[in-house]
Amino acid sequence: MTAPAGAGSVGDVRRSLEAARRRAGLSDGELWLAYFGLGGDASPEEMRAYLTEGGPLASGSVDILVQALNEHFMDHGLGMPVPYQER
Amino acid sequence: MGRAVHGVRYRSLTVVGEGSLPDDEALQTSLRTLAETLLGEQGLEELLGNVTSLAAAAIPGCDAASISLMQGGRTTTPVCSAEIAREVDQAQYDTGGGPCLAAMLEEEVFRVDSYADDDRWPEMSAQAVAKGVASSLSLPLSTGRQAVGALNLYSTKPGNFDGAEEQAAMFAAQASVTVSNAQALERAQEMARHLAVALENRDVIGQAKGIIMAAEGATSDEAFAVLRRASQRENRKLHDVAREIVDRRRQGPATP
Repeated sequence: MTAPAGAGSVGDVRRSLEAARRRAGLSDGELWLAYFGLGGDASPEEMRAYLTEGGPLASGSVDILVQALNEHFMDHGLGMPVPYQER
Repeated sequence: MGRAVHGVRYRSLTVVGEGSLPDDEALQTSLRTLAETLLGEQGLEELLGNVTSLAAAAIPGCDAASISLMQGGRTTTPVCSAEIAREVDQAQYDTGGGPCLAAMLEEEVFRVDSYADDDRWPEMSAQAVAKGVASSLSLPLSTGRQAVGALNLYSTKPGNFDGAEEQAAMFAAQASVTVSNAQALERAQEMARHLAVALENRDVIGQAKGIIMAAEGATSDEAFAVLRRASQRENRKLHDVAREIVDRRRQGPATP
């Protein structure tokens, strides 16, 4: 299953995730490890391909990535600023 | 008069047993011993301590050898073959200048033939002279991209290290490889620790999702959403929320 095209914003979600990753100062490896620790199943390569060129990623994985990023921001007292795909 | 010795590059000289080694049999044996000693059998300090003692023993006229390491913005001398080397290193850290610091910062070999006549680091030179040190050779230790420290050789005789650069470079190369390996080992161990934590969290989250799926007839993605909403609402890590659910289930009354 691939990420659903929520209001044609699949690319936006992906780009905002990649921007958040950069803002968080997390390497691909660090983000993947956090994602993996939250139960994510995609490989590091699949995650990278999704973030850079919109490669396929299981729909649930996007919110796991969001959670991984938000937990990083939470650690730095910045709340949970990245929006979830599923409301 | 001392001067920086340019163009001495020894990163390619890390292979022991090549034809580039000096004939000196003792030196060859020393280097082979160092190369064959694996990190893990001995700690980093012990291994570097071997480098300094073997360098001091193998290089003619060298009275003391030490290794300086830059770690977390501080430079220290973790090992030396004789305390005088640590003292002269310290004089450099205290005065903020000297061949060992210059070797690290400029990634060049710095030789001082006579501290009494050298005017590059007057404060430090005066202290070296007062301690009876006449000449020195400082070689940068590099782990590929950046200099991480220096191998420092000291002698009570002036001009002792003229022509000793190549020999000394063998030991600097060995120390560089040792530091590099130690850093790689440290990174690998840290990665292993992080992975162990991730696996544990993943397991707890999987269990909590299973509990939610069973209780609410939810899909795996829906169960995750329940957890992450609780995480958001309570401003807690998702694995903490999951742990609570699993613990509560474990403590709760057994269903018949």
